[in-house]
Amino acid sequence: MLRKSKGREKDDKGVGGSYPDIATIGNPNLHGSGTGNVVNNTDRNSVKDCKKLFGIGIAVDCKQWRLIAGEESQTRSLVFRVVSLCIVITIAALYLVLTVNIPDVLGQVLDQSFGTAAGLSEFAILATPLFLTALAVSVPLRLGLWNVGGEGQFFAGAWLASGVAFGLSHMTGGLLIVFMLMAGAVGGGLCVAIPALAKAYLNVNEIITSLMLDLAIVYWVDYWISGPWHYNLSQGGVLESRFIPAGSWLPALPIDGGIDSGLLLSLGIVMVFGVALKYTKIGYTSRMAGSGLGLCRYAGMPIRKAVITAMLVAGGLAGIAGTLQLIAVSHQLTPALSNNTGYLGIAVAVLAGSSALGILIMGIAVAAVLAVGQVAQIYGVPAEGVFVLMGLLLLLSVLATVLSRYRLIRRIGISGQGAEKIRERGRSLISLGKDINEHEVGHDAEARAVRDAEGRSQVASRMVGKAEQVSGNE
Amino acid sequence: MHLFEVYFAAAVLAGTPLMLAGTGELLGEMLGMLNIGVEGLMLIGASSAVVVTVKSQSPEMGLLAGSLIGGLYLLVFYGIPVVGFGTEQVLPGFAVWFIGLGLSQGIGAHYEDIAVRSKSTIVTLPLLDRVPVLKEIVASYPWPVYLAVILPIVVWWFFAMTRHGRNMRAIGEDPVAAAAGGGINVRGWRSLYVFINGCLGGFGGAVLAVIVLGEWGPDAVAGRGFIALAVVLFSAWRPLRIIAGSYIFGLLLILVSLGGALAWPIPSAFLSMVPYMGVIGILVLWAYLSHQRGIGYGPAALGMSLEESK
Repeated sequence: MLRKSKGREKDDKGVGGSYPDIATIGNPNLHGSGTGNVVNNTDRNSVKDCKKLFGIGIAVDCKQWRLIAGEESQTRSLVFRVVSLCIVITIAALYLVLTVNIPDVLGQVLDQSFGTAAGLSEFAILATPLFLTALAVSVPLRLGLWNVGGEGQFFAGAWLASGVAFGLSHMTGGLLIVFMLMAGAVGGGLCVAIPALAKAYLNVNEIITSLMLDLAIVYWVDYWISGPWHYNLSQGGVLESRFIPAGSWLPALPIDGGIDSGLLLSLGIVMVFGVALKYTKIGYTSRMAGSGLGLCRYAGMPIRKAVITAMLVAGGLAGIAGTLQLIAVSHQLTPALSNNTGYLGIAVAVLAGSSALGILIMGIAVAAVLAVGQVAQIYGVPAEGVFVLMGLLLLLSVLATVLSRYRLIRRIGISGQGAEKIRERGRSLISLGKDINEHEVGHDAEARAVRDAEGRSQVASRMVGKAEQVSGNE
Repeated sequence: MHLFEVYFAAAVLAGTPLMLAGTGELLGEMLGMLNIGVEGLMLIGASSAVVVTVKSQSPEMGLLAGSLIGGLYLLVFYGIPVVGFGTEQVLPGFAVWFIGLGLSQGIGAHYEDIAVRSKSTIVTLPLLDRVPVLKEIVASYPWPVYLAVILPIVVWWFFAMTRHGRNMRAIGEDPVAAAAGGGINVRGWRSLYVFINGCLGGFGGAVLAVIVLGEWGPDAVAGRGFIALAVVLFSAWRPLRIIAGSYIFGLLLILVSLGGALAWPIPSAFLSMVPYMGVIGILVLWAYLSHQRGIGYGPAALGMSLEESK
């Protein structure tokens, strides 16, 4: 047996030659370890190596398409999400085609969004709060926390801001607006304080608590606008507060059509957060926390502080969104202040996937859906249809995350038959190595042969592992 | 005394949908599936039940339709992504909520404020209806109220006594081990219990609309789905506590009408806030007490797909 092996080796490669690392066969990214020889890793050579080593040419088959499971990929996920957005828009379009006269609707949508200057400002009004409420979901989401109560925080901010406006009505101009924005942030933050503290200290599910507060805040605002701040002239149970003092109205930008300056503020805040969360220590902490709170605890990071800060900041952002809507658009506190903005923010944040630019893009897309929805409502399409679309979007985007784990790539594979042959050959080589070890060796040549055989057996055992791994993947 | 009896009965009725939906959610969570969207599920059940009741003039048909549609609804929008594709579970839950919110308005659009309450469903318990006080507060309710109380008891028996129930808990603790060691078809079981969860949630919504409220409206459910989730948290995954939790939260829900009846000097808007704030208060208090005693952890694999568990 010993002789036989030696003879074949001389024929093939010469005594003492080294062998390619098996991991490199068919895998150009890995390099052979410690063998000295740099193996040329083209596929054809791999086949040749295989043949040289084991006398099996068919071990490595031709290239074929395979679905490879791996890590989730941000890019592919984003692509899939855009695709899912398109699917949902198609569904909505089909529904509209079946129910209403499309040219009418489209014409009106264009009028009310991009077509005219006034329409563009309407569109900005829809998009402005969405950016902020989406950010209010996105910031805690980095830590794996769901702030679902954006709607309630929106109203809490608007409520406290109107309180400040009514209380400080002798003031005018910029200072009052600044005070109101601060009050809005504080109001939203107060609204989220209970869920944040309960989550940080007692690990109470923040989804339920923030949503419960959200439902409660609606009645709280109802009380103020039907009682103390009621707008006297409105008749018949219309829930509206008095107008806030004209000095606190946010001026429109000096552009044709008058886009309100709230849009600028909102865009600015999103950008600041986008930069800050990428380049500052706080952003780093939140990214770390997002990859696992246990890891953070191990690294000695202040998790409670991070959880509470993220939630309070989120509440503040939603509160500012409500305040902006109050001072720039409606100028009075009404239930119609929000266009389900808080809930839609969840969808935008999920679709955007923790990217500030994504929030802007997806915010605009969702605002466009809202604009179409508002027009379609005139034609009898139910307003809640928007929720169905958002639900489908969430569903498709979560599927996109899963699908992004898979890649369809073309690469060489080892067929079942080839793998079986390699396995057989490898086993015989291993047993050969064992035989030699057991043999008493005296001569140089034989010692060399032993070394070679040991080397081969190592290679072969790795080959068996590789072959099993490959055939296991199939 | 009469008022007490009336409001006790109202609290029992208000707690019943919570108990049904909560039991369904508990079953799902025991297998490791967290469904945040009970609210949407109940809305779908409520709206379709009212539509079928009005069409067929039979509340039983409405309840049956509500639960079956609820089951199919959850299977399609939650079961397929979570069990089939192995996605994470919060987002499909939100999708169930959002789609239910929109779809139910479409289903019930022409059936708002049509009274569907009927007396035919009321069952009077024998013997108990002869006892003076119990006659009023225990003995005569619509049959779903009794069914709702029996269900958690059955589930408790299931988990404590049967092999099937222990297998379910095994899936909730470690699906991979359950599949490998116990030879359980985890996906099959999870699909089955997504359907059952949907049926119970839909049934809860149907009972709410057809029997408790007696009509459909866009705000019929008004957060009760999330309160049902809170009931499961309150129960700390022990089925019998679902009964107590549901009645406590039911009591909170009727507080606004009780306040109106007794002419409490509190604005009704504040009373309407009480159920929601009360849920938060109870959850926080309960978490504090559990924290002190170190209890109250859910199934280990709660919220994890089979792929994630590996």
